[in-house]
Amino acid sequence: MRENVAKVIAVVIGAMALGVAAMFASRINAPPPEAAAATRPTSAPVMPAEPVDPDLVERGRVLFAEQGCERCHAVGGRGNPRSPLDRIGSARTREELHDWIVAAPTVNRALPRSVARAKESFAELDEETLDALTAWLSTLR
Amino acid sequence: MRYRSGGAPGGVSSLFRGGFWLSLYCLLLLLPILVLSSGLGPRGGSGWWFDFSMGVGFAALGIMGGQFLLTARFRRAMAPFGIDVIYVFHRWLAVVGLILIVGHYLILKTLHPGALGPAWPGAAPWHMTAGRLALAFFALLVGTSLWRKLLQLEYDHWRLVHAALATGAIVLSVVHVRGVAYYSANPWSGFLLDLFVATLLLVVVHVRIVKPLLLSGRRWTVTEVVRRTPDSWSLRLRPEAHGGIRFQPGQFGWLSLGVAPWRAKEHPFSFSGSAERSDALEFTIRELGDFTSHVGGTPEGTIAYVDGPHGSFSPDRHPRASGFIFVAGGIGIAPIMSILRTLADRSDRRPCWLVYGNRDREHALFFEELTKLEEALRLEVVHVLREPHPGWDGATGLPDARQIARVARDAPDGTHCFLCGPVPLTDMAERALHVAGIPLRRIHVELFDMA
Repeated sequence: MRENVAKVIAVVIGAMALGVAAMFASRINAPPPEAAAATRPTSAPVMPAEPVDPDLVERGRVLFAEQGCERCHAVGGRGNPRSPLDRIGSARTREELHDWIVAAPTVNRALPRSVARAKESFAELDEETLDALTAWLSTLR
Repeated sequence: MRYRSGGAPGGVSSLFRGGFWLSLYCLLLLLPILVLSSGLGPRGGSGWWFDFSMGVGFAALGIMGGQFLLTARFRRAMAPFGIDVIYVFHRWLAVVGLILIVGHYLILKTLHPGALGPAWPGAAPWHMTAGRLALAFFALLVGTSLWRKLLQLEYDHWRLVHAALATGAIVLSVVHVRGVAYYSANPWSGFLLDLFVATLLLVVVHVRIVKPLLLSGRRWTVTEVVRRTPDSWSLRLRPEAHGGIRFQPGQFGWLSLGVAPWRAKEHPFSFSGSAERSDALEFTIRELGDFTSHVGGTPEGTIAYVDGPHGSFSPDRHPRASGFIFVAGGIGIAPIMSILRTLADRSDRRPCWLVYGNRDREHALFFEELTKLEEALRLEVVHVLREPHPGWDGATGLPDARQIARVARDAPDGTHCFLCGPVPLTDMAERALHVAGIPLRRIHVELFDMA
């Protein structure tokens, strides 16, 4: 009998773990209260769209996948939803995007240390690659 | 036969103590994920399934980390349950934990494959490789434990591999969580993760350093090796410059024979001697492979160390019992022998019955001594032999429900039952006793050969 009780308790603990994980997911994804949402700015200042070379944009799109950016970022639901970049082109200039990609000193402090370290490795990319990436990101609006 | 002993908790206070420790344990396991869910955690979700997967991962880490507490042999916390059932729980909880870990991975693999990145370690970030390795380690850990005998892993080797895989899996998991760092910006979750790691470290230090250190100061010497049957031996041990062990009859200890406690080469065996004699310990062991096969060749004077007493398979936990029914198969007699010898030393007058199954007369342990105990105690022994010799006028075959029901009918209200032997025997006896009207709370089963 005791073996069965032990089994049941183990399964109940597993079910409790799922329940608490579901509670966590629901809480963290709950829509903000309406009052707070109303007073919150809808987005950062909108950057005017600059004309960019379509070939460069296409290269940037391919490079985004090649460089493993999807491990931490999602675009159009693809990649890591933790840090979506769907409207980043409206919020940041291309210079700012460059700084965020390589964790330049201007943004370094705003990032958790491990994230900053991961981004710093992108400083080794050549300017052409970074240019293509910022071109593509600037079109995400 | 090696076995771990235990018994059902007795009485309301034991139930409360059990409930207290179980609640505390559940709280510890789920504390990290509870804090994350409470509002103290991070704000801003990444999609329900993504965050659910993270929550499941955290909960699984809590469950797997908590496994270290279960096997650290904390006597006070284990006492209400019986350490044997804790090992059953340990095994099942590991399966549950592994399912959660696989779930954590599969949700991401299915819904957010980009977040996982490439699997090849050369191309993947180190913390993602650590996560994948941890998953493999956990799977190996559970597989080698569930199918140890099928894989023909020798017990001592398996224990070493088990400890190494478990430690490795937890270290890799923490490296994974630290590297991913989704919630480390939050001071609460960071603090809890540190606390979790510190607790596990303390447990490992306790089990691997403090406990062996304490044990090494309490040496025993093998004074006698007695052949009981063609394949069973009793080892008698004398304490060296310490007071011995006070134990309850039916309990067991982890025995290290000829090696220092640091070596972690210990095996659980029931005490078979009287609990009224703290100046000597006796273990009775049947040759069943690996370590036990060499027990008979132990030279007198061999140094030994004993971690114990453990287990709650003892009538001393039920002082108001009005009588006792014992059911044993083969080497399962060892803890029951300890109980009977103790009752005799105490001149206990409560009625006792023993249904004892064996292959044949030659393999029946303590046959003559049991006859003497029938006189010293109010004891009736029913020997059941599978292969009886000519002229045997006792019961034959396997112990059956009919014999047990007959004994239960004669027993007074308030009788407690202690069953130890192969699982089919104890299962049958438990059912038969329950059908005969004995409540399950008065039926105590020894779960042995867990490893």
